[in-house]
Amino acid sequence: MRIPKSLFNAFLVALVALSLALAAAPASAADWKPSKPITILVGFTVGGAMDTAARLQGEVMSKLLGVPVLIRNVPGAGGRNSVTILNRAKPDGYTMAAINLPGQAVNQVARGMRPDLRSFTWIGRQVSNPYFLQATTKEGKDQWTNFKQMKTAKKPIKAGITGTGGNTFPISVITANLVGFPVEFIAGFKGPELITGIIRGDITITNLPLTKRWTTAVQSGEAKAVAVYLPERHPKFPDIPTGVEQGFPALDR
Amino acid sequence: MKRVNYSYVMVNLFYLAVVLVVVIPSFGFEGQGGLVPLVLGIPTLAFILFCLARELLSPSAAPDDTVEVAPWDKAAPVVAWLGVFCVLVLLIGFQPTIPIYMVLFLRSFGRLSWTRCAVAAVTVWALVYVSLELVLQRTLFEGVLFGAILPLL
Amino acid sequence: MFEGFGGALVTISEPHVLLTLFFGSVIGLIFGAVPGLGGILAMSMLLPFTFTWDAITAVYLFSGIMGASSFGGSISAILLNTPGTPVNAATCFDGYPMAKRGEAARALGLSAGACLLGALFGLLILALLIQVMRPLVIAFGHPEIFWLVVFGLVTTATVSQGSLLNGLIAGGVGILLSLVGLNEPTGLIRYTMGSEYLWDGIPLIPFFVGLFAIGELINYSAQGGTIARDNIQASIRGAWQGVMENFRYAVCLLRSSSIGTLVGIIPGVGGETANLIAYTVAVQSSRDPTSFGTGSPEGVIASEAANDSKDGGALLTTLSFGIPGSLAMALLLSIFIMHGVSPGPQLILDNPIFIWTLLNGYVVSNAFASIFGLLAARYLAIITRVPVHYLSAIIAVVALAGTYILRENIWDVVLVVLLGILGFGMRRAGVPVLPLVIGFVLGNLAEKSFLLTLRIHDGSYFGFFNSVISWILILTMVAVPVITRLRTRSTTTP
Repeated sequence: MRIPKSLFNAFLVALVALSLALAAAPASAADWKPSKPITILVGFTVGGAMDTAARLQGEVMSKLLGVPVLIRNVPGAGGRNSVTILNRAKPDGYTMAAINLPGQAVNQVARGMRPDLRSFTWIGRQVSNPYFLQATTKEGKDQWTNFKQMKTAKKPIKAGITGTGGNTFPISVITANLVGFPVEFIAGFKGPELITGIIRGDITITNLPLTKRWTTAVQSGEAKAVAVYLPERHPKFPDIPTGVEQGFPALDR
Repeated sequence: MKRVNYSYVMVNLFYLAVVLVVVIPSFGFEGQGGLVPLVLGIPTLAFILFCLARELLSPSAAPDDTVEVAPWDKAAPVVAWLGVFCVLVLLIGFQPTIPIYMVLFLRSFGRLSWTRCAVAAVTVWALVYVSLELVLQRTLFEGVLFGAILPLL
Repeated sequence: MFEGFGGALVTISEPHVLLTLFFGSVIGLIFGAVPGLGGILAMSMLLPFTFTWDAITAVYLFSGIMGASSFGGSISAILLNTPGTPVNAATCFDGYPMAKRGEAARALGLSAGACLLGALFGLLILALLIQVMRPLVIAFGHPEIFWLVVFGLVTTATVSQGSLLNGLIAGGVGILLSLVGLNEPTGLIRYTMGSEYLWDGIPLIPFFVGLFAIGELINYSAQGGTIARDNIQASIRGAWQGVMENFRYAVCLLRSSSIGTLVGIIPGVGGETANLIAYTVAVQSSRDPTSFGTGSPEGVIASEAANDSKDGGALLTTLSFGIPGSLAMALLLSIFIMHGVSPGPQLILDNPIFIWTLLNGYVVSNAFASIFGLLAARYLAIITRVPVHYLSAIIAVVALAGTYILRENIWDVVLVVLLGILGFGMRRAGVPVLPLVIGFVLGNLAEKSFLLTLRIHDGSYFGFFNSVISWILILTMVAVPVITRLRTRSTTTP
């Protein structure tokens, strides 16, 4: 997908600002003793990745806090239902939501979604998993090994993303803009299809979180990792350089 | 004597509405967004118009007794009952609606005795309550009147 | 590969394991049979509770649910024209007419047999191919998915009963309906007419529940009486006969199972696709294509065999690759990972006992479900002899509450009723429902794979024709109708 350049830039600035604002201050609730069940809203259907994570967290939370934690699925409108319903709930700490932040940030910046995501109290990251920039090793396709080389690309680099609502999109936009390589987005992959797309050479780069399936692909040489978005190298993958090392200090997460 | 099959006309008018909703904005999409919808939508539109014209000019409907499906005048009360169910659920939620609907429906539509109606209503309500609310711990919609929030439409 | 088999067999004979498996199967049957719920819901609800269990028991529980839910879904598809889960949609087309004819037990027997045999077939392929899987998954890219889906869509046009034109229109409208909502490849939000509800498109399960369950509910409630119209005495017999009939239609069974396994293997093609493609192919290749839709045993076999064999295919991709082919598989993967077992090629070498545990559990739960079906068929068939006003009230309540639970969106309930009216109107108008459903299920996938293929090949249409698999699919697509035509000619002119 080719994003119009103007939207692309405005979007980047706003997105970076918003991400920083939201990452700044996690709430502290050390002395809070809940007395009735807590509800966690999930904007996606039962069985999805977010739902699974929220259910596991709910189980642990209810053991720690001593009250039941109920998971309420309110799918619809690409996860925005969870934002809307959270906004209408009483701000007493008993209603929480697991929100797909990058996707909802795109909604707020590019589509003018209300309410403002900055008006919520942010508790923490649901899943902390570093993202890696993956490149194909398929013969006959462009081979990318580092950012410097990618900057010299003559044609736009084909980057696979799930869609404008997914996490891979903002990460790819930010990387492409900060590093300054031309990029052509190919959207519509389901999560697992990105890795087969890389192996098959349908796309030449993509950004993926650390999962078992790409580890296998990297180990077998069917794909390689160009960079990891961390301040330091990942202990399990000491061979993969960070974005910081390659001269882009902003790409540390 | 053949007459116009009005069900056929209505279904095709619905199809026509769907196709128009898809085809008209498709001309305005940039890139390939409108490609597939137009390639499929325009022939479908032509087929629908042809079928509608054919039906209206030379009616095809057989006399009613040969059709296996119930006629509309008999189906209308059932549709109305389903509408009542929807409205009740929206207003007061599933929990009260289920027994109320069961009793009213069985009493007026099935002509059962009050006792049978009540037994059936309580059984189904208990089944739904135990399985969904107690076992699965899911909350059924609570009704706008009792403070439930309508999702975005 | 086979070294874990003995160990897994020992664990399955332990009483607590058998009990877990049985419990899983019962849950699978119930969740499968109630429209709106489904195996996935049951699995994700139970997932947190299994956190502290040992891995083997957890895997048994989930394989039990997975194995039994599709037969559970076929029960309501046959008796009430209500696919319990989307993957049972094609079972309605012939299973329900059989029930109406008073052959509910026979249809249940057919389904029970087809489920078990289909599952065994899928697992056999799994055991044979698990070591050599990767090239096949890699070879099946977006152009190939596109042709597979077009294959399914094209066969629809030729199988629809009655007027070809009506079939084409319904198929076209089905595809257009599936395109509503956010289109990922282009980033456009299309045809929502300003509605926020339609952002995610028209939801699949309300679509099925409305069109089938409520559409038919309006019909039988209006007609009164009972669902089984004639031959009421016979309706409780014939389950065993139904099971044995699977062997009479062995060709159909094998073909449908192969289609199911293949569709299961391809990541990104949902389970609701397998039964529909198998069904349309069965109609095309049958000696008696006109009997389909009126209660043909082959229709039930095709749908259910494909349904249960696709799990074997999906497991193949999930286990050998770590790529889940469906939502159910994604859940299964997270269970594996939660218990420290990593899928991928290493799994077969490191932890063969897991694979055998899963497979044994899956087979046993399928057998549980089928035996249950066989024993209970005569009692289940009584449903077709209950006065319809009871059924009407209960099904309206259960189906609408079940639909609501799935997404907790009250507008889904309203949508179901509106689609029910459409479904009844289509029956009344004599317009086929099958092409609309197939178009709706396959349309979005067809457009997505079409656009992705174009993008990947820089807008060139040659991308659709540069692989062997593409050509095989194109040639089959052309050949099947021709062969059907020739065969019908040779049988009509002796």
